[in-house]
Amino acid sequence: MLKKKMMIQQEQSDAYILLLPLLLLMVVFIVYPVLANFYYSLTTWKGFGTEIWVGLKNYRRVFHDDKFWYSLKNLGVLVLYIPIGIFIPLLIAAILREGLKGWMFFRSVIYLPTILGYVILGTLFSIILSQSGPLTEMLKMMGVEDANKINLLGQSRSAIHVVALLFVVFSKLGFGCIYFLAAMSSIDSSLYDAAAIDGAGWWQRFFSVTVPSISFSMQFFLVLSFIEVFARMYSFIYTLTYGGPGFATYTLEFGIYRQGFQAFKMGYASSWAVILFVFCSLIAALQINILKKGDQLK
Amino acid sequence: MLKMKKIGFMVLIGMVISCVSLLAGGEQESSADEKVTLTVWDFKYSEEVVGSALKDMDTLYMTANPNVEIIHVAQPHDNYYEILAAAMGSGTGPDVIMAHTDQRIWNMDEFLLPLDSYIADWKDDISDSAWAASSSTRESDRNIKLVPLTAQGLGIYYNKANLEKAGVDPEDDFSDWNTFLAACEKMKSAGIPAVVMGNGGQPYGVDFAYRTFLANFYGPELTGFSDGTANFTDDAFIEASRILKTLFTKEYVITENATMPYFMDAIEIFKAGEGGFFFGLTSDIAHWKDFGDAFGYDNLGYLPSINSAKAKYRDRQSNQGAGIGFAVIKNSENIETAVDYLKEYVHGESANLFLTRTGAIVPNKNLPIENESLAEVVGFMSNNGVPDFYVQLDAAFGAELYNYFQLFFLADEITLNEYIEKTQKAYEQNL
Repeated sequence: MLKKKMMIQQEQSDAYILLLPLLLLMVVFIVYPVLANFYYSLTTWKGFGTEIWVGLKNYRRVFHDDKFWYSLKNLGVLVLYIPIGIFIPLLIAAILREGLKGWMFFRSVIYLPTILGYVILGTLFSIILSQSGPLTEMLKMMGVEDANKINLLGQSRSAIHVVALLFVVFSKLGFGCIYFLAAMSSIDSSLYDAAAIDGAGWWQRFFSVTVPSISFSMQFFLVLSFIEVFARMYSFIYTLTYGGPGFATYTLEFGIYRQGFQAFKMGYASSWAVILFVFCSLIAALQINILKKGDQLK
Repeated sequence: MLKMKKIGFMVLIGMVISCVSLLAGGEQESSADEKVTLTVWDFKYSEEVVGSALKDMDTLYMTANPNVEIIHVAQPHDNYYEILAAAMGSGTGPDVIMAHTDQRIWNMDEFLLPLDSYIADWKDDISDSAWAASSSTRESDRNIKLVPLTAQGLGIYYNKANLEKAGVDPEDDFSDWNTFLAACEKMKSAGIPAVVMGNGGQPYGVDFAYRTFLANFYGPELTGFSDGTANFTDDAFIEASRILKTLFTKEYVITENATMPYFMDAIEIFKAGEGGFFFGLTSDIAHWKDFGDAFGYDNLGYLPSINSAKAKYRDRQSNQGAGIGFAVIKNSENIETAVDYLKEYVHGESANLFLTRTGAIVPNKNLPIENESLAEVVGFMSNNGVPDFYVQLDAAFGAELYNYFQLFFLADEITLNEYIEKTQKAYEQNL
């Protein structure tokens, strides 16, 4: 008994020793920067040199900064597109799963935005949607008058929606399809057979069999989508709209970079980062709560 | 046995961490010898014309100084200052850096070597306005941190042939606002873009136009934008905004301007002979040589600014003093060589090569000026020069101002009053 207890303790200490290098790296590259960020948010600091303690001055400034409120509003719009960003790849995956002719080809084409990456996508669409770009030329050929006056990325009311459609929906299409296809492969086909026998149509099978069977995968994709919107949009916005027109596509993340690295107001940018941290933590806590409730119901 | 394995494994982990630390420590210094290696960072080295000129200037220096090797590194323009800040903050920067003479480099002032004592012997060769722009305190006799390579300003170029095609007399005085507007109207009627402007990405077109207009509205008082004595709520700024907006509301500005980058699409369009007027630079690029070489010096006209009835001054030339220059990093191990290298850049054969090859105005008083168009531009800069508006602004606010340009001029989503209110608020927050 004692020997067994000693063996278990031995295994545990071995586990910690094996984890030690990773834990050290996490402390140095994740824990320390996060804690340092909290500290620097209470200072005026250029990102180098000596910081000056200013207390909550940066936070008071944030709430009077129009850019901050614009970025919250934009994040709200982007988040509203997440359900579409989940539903469309789910639907396409369900269609592809049925064995559409040439589905291997479609699968490759749909995955292209994922392969290209945000920088290339942003640059590509800034050219496609420009006033002298291929879209304008196409509209001219179709006889649309003053086609070169159309500037979807140049008007606040359209720019944020274009960004949302491209980033939240289009760029995730490929990965989402592949991900949901993989999830669907674990669904027992007898469920579909049973549903068909009961007279269920395609949509009924989709909502009653497919969706419930892969609900955990959908929840994970939802979490991923939120993370992408809150913390992965910088390169896309930089290349597509640079936060404009005005602040129509300005996000918290973009603001952090602009103020920290371009304006050398790292202390102020850190206060924005703390607020972003709080948002992400609340979302993560909410989602963990939902997941737990889902597990309890099962 | 298990204990031996555990000890062995811990030793292995320790060795791996030690190796990583040693490698991360960077290269060891090479043994002392006569050869000096100078590393230069530059955001223009990859440009075809400027890059080739700088390369040849380096060759000239290395030929004259065989013990010096210059490693000239082309850095990307768009995030150049972020790269610089990261390098200098971590102590891994080069010996010499190129920089604009505005707030972007003065944020990193603490890393730059004060050059006052090093340039004493040849300081008089370079204009005082260039030294003032190269000083972190904007004083020509102290705190000099950059050796100025170019003297930069903003002005208005025009294509005489296109004006003639539209039925406009190219010898008219376009510095008069009403004459300018009338010419724009005729060009619009003739189907020629009156004003070629690039505002895609960053609205440089609007920015450069503002700088020419504000030169007449504020004159020397433009320095007030650095300390809050000039404001966006001033009648002068409001009127300048109103007249600039007129160019957009009357559709004189090329339709595609909102998505057309200034660098290089708009420049290339004007060089290709399209359009009437262009708000360009006096040095470096989008300037007298670019356009003169492209559609002929006889066809090229130049104005420093537009004279509005409500402007306090006339024919003022926006003059930054210096546009770009080079700084020596304080902790460079080759300070003497670096300063000597920069001295050669702005003197003699090198300076003349840079001027004739690129068209950039090197602020050396002793350089011959043989081109008539250049002489005209330099004349305005020397005799009518006033400070440049944009370089007075805080770097963070300057970037934010572009967002408001987009809203008011390009998207047309806010009124003039809203525009003034928002810019003034942002200006005050960043003072």
